[in-house]
Amino acid sequence: MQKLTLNQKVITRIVIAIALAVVLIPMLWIFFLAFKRPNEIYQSTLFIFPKSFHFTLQNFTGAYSFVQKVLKISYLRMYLNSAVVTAGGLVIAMIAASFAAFSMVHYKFRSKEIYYTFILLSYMIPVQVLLIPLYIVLQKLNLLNTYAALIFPYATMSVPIATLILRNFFGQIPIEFKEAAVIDGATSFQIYKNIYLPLARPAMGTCIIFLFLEMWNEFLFAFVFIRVDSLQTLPLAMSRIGIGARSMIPWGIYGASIVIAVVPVFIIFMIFQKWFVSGLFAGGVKG
Amino acid sequence: MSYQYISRRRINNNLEPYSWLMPSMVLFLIFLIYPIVFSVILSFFEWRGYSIDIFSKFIGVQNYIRLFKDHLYWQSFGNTLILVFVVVFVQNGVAIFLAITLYFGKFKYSNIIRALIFFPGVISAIVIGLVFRRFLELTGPLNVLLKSIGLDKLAIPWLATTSLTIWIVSFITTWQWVGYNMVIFYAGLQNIDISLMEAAYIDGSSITQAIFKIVIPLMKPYIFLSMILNFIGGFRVYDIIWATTRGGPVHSSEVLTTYMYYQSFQSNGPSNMGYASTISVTLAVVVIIFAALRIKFFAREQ
Repeated sequence: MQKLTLNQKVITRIVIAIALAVVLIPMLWIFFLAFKRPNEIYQSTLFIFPKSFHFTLQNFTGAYSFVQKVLKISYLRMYLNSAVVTAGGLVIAMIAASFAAFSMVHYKFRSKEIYYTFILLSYMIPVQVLLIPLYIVLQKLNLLNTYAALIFPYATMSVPIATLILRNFFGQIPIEFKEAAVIDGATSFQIYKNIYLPLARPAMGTCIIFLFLEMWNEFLFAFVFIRVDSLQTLPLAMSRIGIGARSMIPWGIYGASIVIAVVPVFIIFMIFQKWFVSGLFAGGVKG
Repeated sequence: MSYQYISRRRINNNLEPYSWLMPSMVLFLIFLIYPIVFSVILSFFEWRGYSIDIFSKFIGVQNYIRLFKDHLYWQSFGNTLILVFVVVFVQNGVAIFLAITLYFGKFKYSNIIRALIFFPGVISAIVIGLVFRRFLELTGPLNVLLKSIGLDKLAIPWLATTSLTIWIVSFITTWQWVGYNMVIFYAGLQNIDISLMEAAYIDGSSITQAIFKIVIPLMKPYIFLSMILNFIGGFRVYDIIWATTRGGPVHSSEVLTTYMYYQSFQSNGPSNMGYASTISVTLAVVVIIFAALRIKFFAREQ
């Protein structure tokens, strides 16, 4: 490839620097807000970086007790709630989707095309369309205000995209593997378990990361289906910060509560960074 | 795809493939198909959330007639189109520009830069909303910054200015998701055949010309895909609006999803479940029309 001229080099650097500034400034501002002393915050809203390095952790203890008092839940419980519904949704979605993907790749049957079209369509329907009827269904099943009120809808919403990703990957598994297994007299469940699943491990990882994000961050269903304080998920509890009378919450505590909420997903992002990118990419491209 | 051997062996066993579909079918039936049908039926009834008997008052297409006269509905519809326009065109435009700059700029740490720009996409939109709520306040850092460079006139209460709110929430959405599209485009660039670029240089084209003449045309499938994804995503946006403006002030940033919520579950709202179902049915119809186009496109691709 041709070498960049000096001009081009300077321009590309400036463009990316501006992009990074636009992305990072709001985040860094909140981050440093969380460590500033109350008396420093008002003088220095302009400066993202604190003028002096008198970091304090009092905002974090403040945020902890604020959440405890006003939202009537501890951070630990919020994490736990989010983890339970995400894990539950993930397990059910992955089982259902990998079964469906296996069926679509391993067999020939008449209504396969119909099922495929149905999955493509349901992937695209805005979840909000289901809000009212799902509420009624969950009410009838006596599931409102339980973990199950989120687990089953989350799983259902995720099955289409997971099926598409896995079907794509299953389709790439070399046919020789399957033929050998069939000749050996393996049952279809053995083929699924011993051939498809192990070979599809990267796709499963991609899928799990992608679905994890959707479920961990889901707000609207939690907002409508969960009306008891003790079951609030992270986004649900966060949405109640800074509203109405609660907007009087000091800025430092506000910043700290946001930082606490973002920490888990940040750590997971750092560890699985590559998978995140490929996960969203797969979700996009193959969906 | 042909797994003839396996298929022939299994084809007689007709029920087996369906038994593998059972778990997903059960989920779909209870939590997707039944609710959708229910929603369509409910859109022909008048049902207030607080009465117990759901299907007691059939009112035919009156809810649909009401839609046409409801200026808040059309305002929400217009706002949805603004948001969709911004995420489909502006967001993708910025994303492709950044991807090309990053790719051809030969940055040493391009993977770190990509990760940083991508990062807001993994945070919940509710949290992003909380950040911008304060960031754009009258006394917030953006206005302090504007004042410090002499732009006092621009230092307005951003999220309280009704003529701007829908644009601002659209741009916050773009801010959050531009990295997602950028990653798609970057992956697309990595798949492009470099020798085509070199041929262009031999022709004497500059790098800018080569980008417009060769790279952009080759990127077409990625651009098209990205546009459709953002289109569908744009109709779903809810959280960020809820966390920043609640659709307000005075419904100025209301979109179809938030208006549907307002009509149904909002605690001091009309609690009109039937009418809200009508709104959601129209939302679904619009998306399905475009979804059908997309499926058609993919069928052509294959």
